[in-house]
Amino acid sequence: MIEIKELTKSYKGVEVVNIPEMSIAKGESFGLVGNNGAGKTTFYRMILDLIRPTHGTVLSKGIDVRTTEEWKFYTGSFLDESFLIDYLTPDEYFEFVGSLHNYSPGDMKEFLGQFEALFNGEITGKKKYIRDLSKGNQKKVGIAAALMGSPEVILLDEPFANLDPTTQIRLKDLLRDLKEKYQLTMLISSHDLNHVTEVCERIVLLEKGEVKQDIKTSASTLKDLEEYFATY
Amino acid sequence: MVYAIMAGVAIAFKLDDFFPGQDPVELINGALLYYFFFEFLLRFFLQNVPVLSIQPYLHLPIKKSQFLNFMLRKSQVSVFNLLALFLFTPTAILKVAKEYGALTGLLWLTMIIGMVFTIHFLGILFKKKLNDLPNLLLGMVVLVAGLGALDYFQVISFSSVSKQLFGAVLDQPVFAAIPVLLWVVLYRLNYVYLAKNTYPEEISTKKNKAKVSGDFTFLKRFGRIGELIGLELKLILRHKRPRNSLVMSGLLLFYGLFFYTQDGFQELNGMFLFAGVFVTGSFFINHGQFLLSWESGYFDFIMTRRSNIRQYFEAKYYMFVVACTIAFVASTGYAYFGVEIILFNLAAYLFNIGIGIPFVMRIAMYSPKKIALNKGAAFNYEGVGAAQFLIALPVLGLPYVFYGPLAAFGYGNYGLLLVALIGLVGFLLRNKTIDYLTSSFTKNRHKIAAGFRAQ
Repeated sequence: MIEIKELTKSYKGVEVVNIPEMSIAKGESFGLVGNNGAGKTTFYRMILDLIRPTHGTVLSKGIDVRTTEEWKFYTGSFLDESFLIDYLTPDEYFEFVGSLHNYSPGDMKEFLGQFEALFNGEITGKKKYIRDLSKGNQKKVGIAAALMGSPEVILLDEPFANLDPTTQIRLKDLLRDLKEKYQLTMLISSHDLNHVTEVCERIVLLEKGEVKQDIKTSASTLKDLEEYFATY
Repeated sequence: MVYAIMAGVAIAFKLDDFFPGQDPVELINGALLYYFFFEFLLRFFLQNVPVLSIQPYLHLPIKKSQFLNFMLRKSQVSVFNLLALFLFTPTAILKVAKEYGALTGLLWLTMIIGMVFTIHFLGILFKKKLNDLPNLLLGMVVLVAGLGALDYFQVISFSSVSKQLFGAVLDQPVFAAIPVLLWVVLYRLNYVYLAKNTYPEEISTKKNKAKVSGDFTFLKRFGRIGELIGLELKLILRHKRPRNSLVMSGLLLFYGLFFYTQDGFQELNGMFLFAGVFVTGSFFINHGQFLLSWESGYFDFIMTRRSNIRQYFEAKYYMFVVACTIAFVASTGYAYFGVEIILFNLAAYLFNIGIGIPFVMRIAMYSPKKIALNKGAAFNYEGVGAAQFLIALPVLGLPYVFYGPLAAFGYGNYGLLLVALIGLVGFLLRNKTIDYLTSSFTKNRHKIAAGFRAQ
């Protein structure tokens, strides 16, 4: 689904990402972990063609993301608030994003139906702009919008941060569900080792822009990771 | 600032010429009350209250009194406080000191400074009280209107009150201490008020509004383009700064009055085209110069969503065209001053939609800067770069490149026709221009995005 070739990014001579080779298969749930400044977000931004790589390419379905906009049609993403139009209400925002995917009002209703448990009655039908929502609720809006248009790939940065415990559990269920039903490819980055090992079957550990570990999640993964970060 | 200094010097020197036979110092004293009232209004609407930003210090191990004093003192360093100083120092030196002696001059200035800071703290206090008592503003308006009416119908003359008040210091220098004393008192009042209300939610000026403005569902009929235009309109209506620039554009519709009402305006003929460009195009000049900066807050959204970039620019282009058209239609009212004005405006309008808009859109892509939309509008120069300073010049000047030479040889009408034709050709080729805009954006997208992300 996504292939990385010789990808590097450096700022003023300092390399922040250096991934010679990586491929993420369709339907894979991919978890990226690493301390602050490890290059996680920069890496995701390059996959989304938001940052120009110093060298190398990102291929999505075999096509360089820099040459076409094709990938936008099957890629959902939410990295931070700059993916939200904060002067709209959540309803208006969903409607706008929905219109980009040619949703009919019926489609919209069905789509939002899946999130009822997640939204907990605090998001839709309220006369409140996104900029006035709490961080957690903003995140819910962003994640829901990223899942609009039945994407084949989804990129989420820290999806569990700022969410309340109930929502964290519901979100995990939702992601697992989508993966099983639609073979959704998920790229998640998180500081929360618990969640990420629970949701992802593959964990990649990034340190100073380089891949230090690339493992299939097993029963001992969480312990191994904790050990790694404790002795860092 | 330079203007204030120049005005100050002008007041000191020129007052004699304008009002011969009257004592300039007395004249100024008479006007001071009005001036301070005006300054108070200016502060009320434009000055932001620095004391509101105490939140980051609240949890630090600093004594409350210490940072409150710090905040209040810091707030005194403000452009507004310099204004009066620049305006009246020349008078103090050249007039008051000359006539009444150096000491009196100094004291007179001291009085002015005292007043400035009194108003400064009065303004802050007033603005904060306003949150507790929303009717205060209404009361003030009524009071001011009442006093204004009394003054206007000469029941009470504020200028003579002002003369007596501020003139007192000339006879009895001790009176200069009063404003300074007021300054200290108001400082204290502010301090006490703040010390009692250090909870951020109590002193914040933000109001919780459960209001959602603007519904542009009708635009959906125009498909994706309409949808994008609706989004942009919401952006404009829901933020102060773009809304102000829209209002500004509306006011600039009346700009033509400056020209057309001049005596012998027939000779000013050449300037009509200039007025036309301005009147019909002020919106795209004002709003379009920050084309991408307006949306810097959610730029990543635009880049990753399946909205075609070409449509995105198309929507902006048509929005500007519609705005120009509305302005042009409204400007036909100027026919009152002569039918030929319509011809000028028509040529200017066509030139704007054909050449001006794409031109501004292209220039605006030249290293745009981030704009935080949720900040206030007054004295907000965020997003202003070299491009924004220079943008209006070519838009206003270009038509003259075509019109000027022909008009100089007496073929003004042909010149106008040429300008209109060039604009029309530009408009007919709009798809090509939008293609060009899209491709130059695509080339620069990473640079622009990085610029917006940098703080």
